[in-house]
Amino acid sequence: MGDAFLKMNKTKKLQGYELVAEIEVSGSAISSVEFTGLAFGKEDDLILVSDVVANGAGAPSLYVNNNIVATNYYRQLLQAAGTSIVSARVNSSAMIDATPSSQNFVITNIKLTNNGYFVFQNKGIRFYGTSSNSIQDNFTSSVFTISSITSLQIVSASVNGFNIGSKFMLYKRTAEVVADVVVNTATTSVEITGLDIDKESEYVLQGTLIAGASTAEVSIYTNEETNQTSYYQQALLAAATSVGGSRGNGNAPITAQASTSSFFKAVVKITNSGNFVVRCDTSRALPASVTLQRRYNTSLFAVSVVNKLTLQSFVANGINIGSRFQLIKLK
Amino acid sequence: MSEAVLSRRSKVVEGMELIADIEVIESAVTSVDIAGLGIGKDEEVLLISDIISNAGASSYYLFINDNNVNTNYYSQFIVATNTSVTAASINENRYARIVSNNRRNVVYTDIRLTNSGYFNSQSEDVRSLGTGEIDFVEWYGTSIFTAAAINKITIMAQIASAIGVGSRFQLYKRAGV
Repeated sequence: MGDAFLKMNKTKKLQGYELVAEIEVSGSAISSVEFTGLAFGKEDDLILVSDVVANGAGAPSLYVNNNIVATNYYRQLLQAAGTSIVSARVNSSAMIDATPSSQNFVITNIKLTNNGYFVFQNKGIRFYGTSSNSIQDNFTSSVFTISSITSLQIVSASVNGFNIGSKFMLYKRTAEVVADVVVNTATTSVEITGLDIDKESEYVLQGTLIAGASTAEVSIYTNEETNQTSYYQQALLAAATSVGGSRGNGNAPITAQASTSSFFKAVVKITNSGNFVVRCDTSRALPASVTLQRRYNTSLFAVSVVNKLTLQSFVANGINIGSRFQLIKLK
Repeated sequence: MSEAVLSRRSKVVEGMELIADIEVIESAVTSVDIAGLGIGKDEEVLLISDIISNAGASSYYLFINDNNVNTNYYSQFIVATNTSVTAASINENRYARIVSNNRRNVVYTDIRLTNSGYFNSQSEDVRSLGTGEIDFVEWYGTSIFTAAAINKITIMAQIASAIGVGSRFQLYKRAGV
């Protein structure tokens, strides 16, 4: 067996997130927790880590600014338990379907879209410590719009549903935003230039895509390679009760239906062998039609450095007014 | 077995910090250890695994604290490959699977101890299938035992020497106040 040569870089520091607040349940079980005194706008990103020791059945829900009305939110659920896959669209903002005595761990990315919708994408696991787990992912959107997040409420479905030991941690992104583009006139493409993304780097490209009269499909190209067949894509799509996949020799990780908007969050990286890889989660809305879309793209060519990213629509002027794209440097 | 021994570091108040960066450059290995950690319940780490296979098809497992027994973990996964979407639950902590030799997987894994002390991992595994085609798997794993801290992470291949030259593992710690 060979030895692995260890390379350490003790001076490198990755900018990321800072803890804003944490709440741990002690003493006795409770029914809800609240984060107040917040002041987050459209330029901010939050991560909520929820560690729920369930004291009852039912799904805890996430609300914003005391708008605690389940029907003011829609979510697309994708659940896998053993060989069973369940896909459903539900008029609520539940985060995970807890069962008595279960442990539930959920990571939730929270954002205000550029047009003011409160959206979150969460990945959750329910387990019991002694047997099998289930995956529960939810992509959720409010039906109302707001200008800022001033409070968050997490409410259990059952009375005193959060048992002792449950913990909720709210983080705010502190990483550097290297580009923030707001579209003022409908356009076919947006370019982000002057970059220096190498194998040591990691960036997040996220934002709001607002479509015009046609469905918008937008590619993420690197440098000057804008040929669709130079990339491959695998997708996982959940829309209402339908779940399926697709693979193609192309590149279109971000989509929005005609006259609607989508929120997307993509991690952009160059692998150790030089392939350009994009992992993109997209919540397509009108809120009542929210879908869960997960797309992975890889390049067929190798790059050593990415100097330019081009977001390009399949249709002319498919990126409508109000669309916004942020490039965040994590390292 | 390769091993990275880390010196103790002062806590970083904000930001994420690279705490280990291991690249396989001489010959293929069966496992990689990242030791000298001290990851408590308030901390989260991100493991980015860039794995090149060297021994045909192989699974790759994630263990902590020398508890390298697959039956002490459970994983639920969902696979999207072209139009097919399938799922299953297994009594092991598989976090990647390469389907053929000389293929590459890129895996992003969030690792944490829950407040109750259970090990949790959530992985997104992008797999090259050859000729440019890809698919992906989401693996969500938990332990059946509890721990007070994660002191060591072991990445272990199912098949001997299945972690090929050019594989790279980077571990980041997300710090907080």
